[in-house]
Amino acid sequence: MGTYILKRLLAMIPTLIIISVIVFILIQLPPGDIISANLAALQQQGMEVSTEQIEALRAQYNLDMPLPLQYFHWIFNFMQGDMGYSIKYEQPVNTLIWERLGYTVIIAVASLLFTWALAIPIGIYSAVKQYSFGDYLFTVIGLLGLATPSFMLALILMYCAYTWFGISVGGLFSPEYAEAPWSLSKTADLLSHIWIPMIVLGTAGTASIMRVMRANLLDELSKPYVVTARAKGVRPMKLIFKYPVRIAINPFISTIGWLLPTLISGEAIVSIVLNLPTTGPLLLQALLSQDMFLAGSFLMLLSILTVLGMLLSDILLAVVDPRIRYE
Amino acid sequence: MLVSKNAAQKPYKRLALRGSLVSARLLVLALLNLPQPGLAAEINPAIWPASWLAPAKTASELNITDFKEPPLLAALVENGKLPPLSARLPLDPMVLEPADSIGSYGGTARIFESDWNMFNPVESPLSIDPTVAHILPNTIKTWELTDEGRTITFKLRAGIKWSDGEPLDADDFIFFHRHQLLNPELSPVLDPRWLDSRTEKVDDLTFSYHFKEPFPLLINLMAQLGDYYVIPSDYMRQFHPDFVNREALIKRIRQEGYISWMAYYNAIRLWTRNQPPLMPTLRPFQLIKRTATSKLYNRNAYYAKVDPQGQQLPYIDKINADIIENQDVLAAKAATGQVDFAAFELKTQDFPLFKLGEKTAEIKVHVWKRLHGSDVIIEPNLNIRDERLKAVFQDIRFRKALSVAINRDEMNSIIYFNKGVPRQATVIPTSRFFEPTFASAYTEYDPAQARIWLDEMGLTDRDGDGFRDYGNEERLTITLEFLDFETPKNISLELVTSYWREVGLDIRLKEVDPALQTSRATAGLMQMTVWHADRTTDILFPFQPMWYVPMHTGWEESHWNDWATYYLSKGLRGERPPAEIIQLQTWWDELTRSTDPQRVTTLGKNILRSTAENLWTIGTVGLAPQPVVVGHRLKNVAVQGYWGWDNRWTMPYHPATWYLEK
Repeated sequence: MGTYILKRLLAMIPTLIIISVIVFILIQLPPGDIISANLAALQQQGMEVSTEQIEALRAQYNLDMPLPLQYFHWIFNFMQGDMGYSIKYEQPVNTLIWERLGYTVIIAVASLLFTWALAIPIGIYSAVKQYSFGDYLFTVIGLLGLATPSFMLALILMYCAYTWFGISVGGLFSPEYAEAPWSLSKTADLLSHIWIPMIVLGTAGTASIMRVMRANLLDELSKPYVVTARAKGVRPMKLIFKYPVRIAINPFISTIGWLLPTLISGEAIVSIVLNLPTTGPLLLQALLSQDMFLAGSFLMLLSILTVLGMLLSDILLAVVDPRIRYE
Repeated sequence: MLVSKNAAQKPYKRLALRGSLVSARLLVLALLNLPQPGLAAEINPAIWPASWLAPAKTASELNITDFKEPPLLAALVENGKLPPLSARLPLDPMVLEPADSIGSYGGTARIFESDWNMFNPVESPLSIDPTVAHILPNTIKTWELTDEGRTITFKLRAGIKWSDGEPLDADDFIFFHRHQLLNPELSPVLDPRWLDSRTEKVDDLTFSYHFKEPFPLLINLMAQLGDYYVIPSDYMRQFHPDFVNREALIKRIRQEGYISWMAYYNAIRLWTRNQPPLMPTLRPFQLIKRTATSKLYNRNAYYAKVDPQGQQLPYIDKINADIIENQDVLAAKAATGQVDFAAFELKTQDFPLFKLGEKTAEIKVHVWKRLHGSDVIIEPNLNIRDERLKAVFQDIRFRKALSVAINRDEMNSIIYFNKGVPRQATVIPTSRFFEPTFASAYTEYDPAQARIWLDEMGLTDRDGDGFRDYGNEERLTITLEFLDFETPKNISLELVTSYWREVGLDIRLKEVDPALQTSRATAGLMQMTVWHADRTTDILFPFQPMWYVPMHTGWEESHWNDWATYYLSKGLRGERPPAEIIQLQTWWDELTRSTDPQRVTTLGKNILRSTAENLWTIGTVGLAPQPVVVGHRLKNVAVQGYWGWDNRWTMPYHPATWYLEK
């Protein structure tokens, strides 16, 4: 196992090098750069900026260097933990990402728990009671959830929350708690706000997990070992949870690694609509304004998390499923 | 004639579009009971306190001798954490009269971060009056132009202090000029006007600028953007290598992750850095905390103005500004009364939402006038590379036809609820450069006349497809590229192109993003684009008449880049303009240097008359309504005002006098 992990880790290095080159090239591809985007913003405020000034500005941010040199400059600093400097926000990228990471993780974990807490029991129920009224009902609700655009759902929930419960639209805190130090009531306030993003982000994933769980379990339920166990008189609940469910749940473990990158990229659109201080909108802004270091470092971070996530999934699978371990 | 007949065969599309818009509008009008057309382009100055229109009086002039301070600060003084009020206020502070009533102290105002400049207004050294036509003293008491405008001497009011207690003095202006503006690292390229300029300190409160060429417009700059020209020098020294060891400074900056000392300096100056200490300010409020979701401001204990009862301003203690990235969420929050004040990001199209909010939430929506000569100004590219199209655009008949084919009254009623003013892009009526004909030229809706002019040009429909063609049977097609932001450009252009289609012109709309708008506009590649005609007051029109004179290139105007480049490069690049354009540039040159007010007015009018006669650009509807949403507990916000960059939005309407009712 140890050598396996080591090998996988080594294999990541060339992958990441290639990714970093692609990321760098992709960001450079569209016409213009952060300086011209910044320039547009300056002009929007009524400032006058000349072509010479633009060139001088480029030089200040090292954007006048030849591209390969810019690349090495960026990637070398990145490896040392310095993700660079955001020209748009005029702040170090590290600061920008860290101040948003906490909320991003809270929301991502909450919505993940919501999805699983809802989808897996329903999936099991649907499989066990196949073609029952409940199965159809949950299928319809689940598919509705899948089909509704999440930002739409967000807007509807926000409207309901405000008109029925008087909870302020958008954000994670009521104004009076936004700047207050952490306390019991502030936590309560957070909980009263977090359910909207939790439901919105969770609903989209619920339907698919529900259906996958149902299909996997159905496959297992018809297998001879289940029939044998039933014939021997194992109690139905114990039977289902001890064997078929454990196998049916494998696909989720194999995709758990995908969750790492979404922790960071999040659901940008939902976050923007709900005005959540997560990293998703930041990434979107960085890409829109071609903020080289912010966007590049962000994408690099996502790639690293993806690659690590895949490894994590593989390890988890091996731990959970003895069949894989022994192969 | 043939053309009009053919064009008339395809009116259904246009009618369908217009029909739906009209019915939508009628619905809105019926719902909201909005008043019918009030075409007054000017705001009656009587709605503001008379004292706003003249230089502010001081306490001694009004016999105010007893000054009071807010309880919040009185407590700090008692604890010895703050000097007494008498040591913080100037001996003879300026007095601001509130719009409606004397306020009471306290409270935290809730606003959006995008409104921070509007709620916490800039303290420019010179101020602007509510009609945006006059410049008034502020922290600078008097100014004097000598040597034909080459030397400008300013005298500061005594005793004004920055929010850290340091005095505002001549050094603060001189520091900015010598160590920021003329620093080659901080300002890589200098506006040519400032080349070889000098500053001179006469005494602590008196200083002068010396220029090679006359620069009387510095007065306008000192009013409109004057907060930029002064910096708390005692504080900023510690971040400037002219005053501290460069290596030590750079080392400190690297630790915080900044790329250069310039970036760090600017982050401090522009308040973008996260952690304190934050740069001292002259404004009513100072930023004290910034997070990913909000900014927190506290009152400036040293704010140098009082109300007519001698109470130190501002009335409000704190501001909590939420950072909202999504405009729809922002509008929804404003309409449901979740902030005390909102305006900057609000759109004309959302008026119905706010009107609804007046009934269901505790808000009131005021209608201010946007300082746009035209909310959407159409720019046919007179320097387009395509020779055939260039000949069409440069033909005055074509531009006149485009203009009279537009039904501005209908646009005003569909888009602006009849609250705008149909007009060409020109200065606002309170300007000394204004003449009614400048606004009304070729604005009468007359599609028949448009067809006649187009027929005369030989642009007839030769192949019978309903659209006009060049001399051969090739269709005259124009692509109008635009960036949809700030003003209702998309819906305006939907209407404009439908009017033009009616006279047989094939105009294709193409929406672009900011980067593309910048690169294509500055390269002169756009056949036609639009912008909003700002800088239409006495403050900024003389300084940046970009819609009327080729003197600038940028993302906002793309109709005569080669002529502007020729002018800016003194003939080295670009294309030599025709005589009438050179005349415009000469007039403007003289205008910027002249110290004779009458001559300046004549030159300004010459320039504007040329646009009215030649339609270098085509205006639609101007002085459009800007929604300003005010919560019920916020008092003293002016009911009407001019909304725009020229007067820094709220600066003339004194937000320091706003207060929260308990």
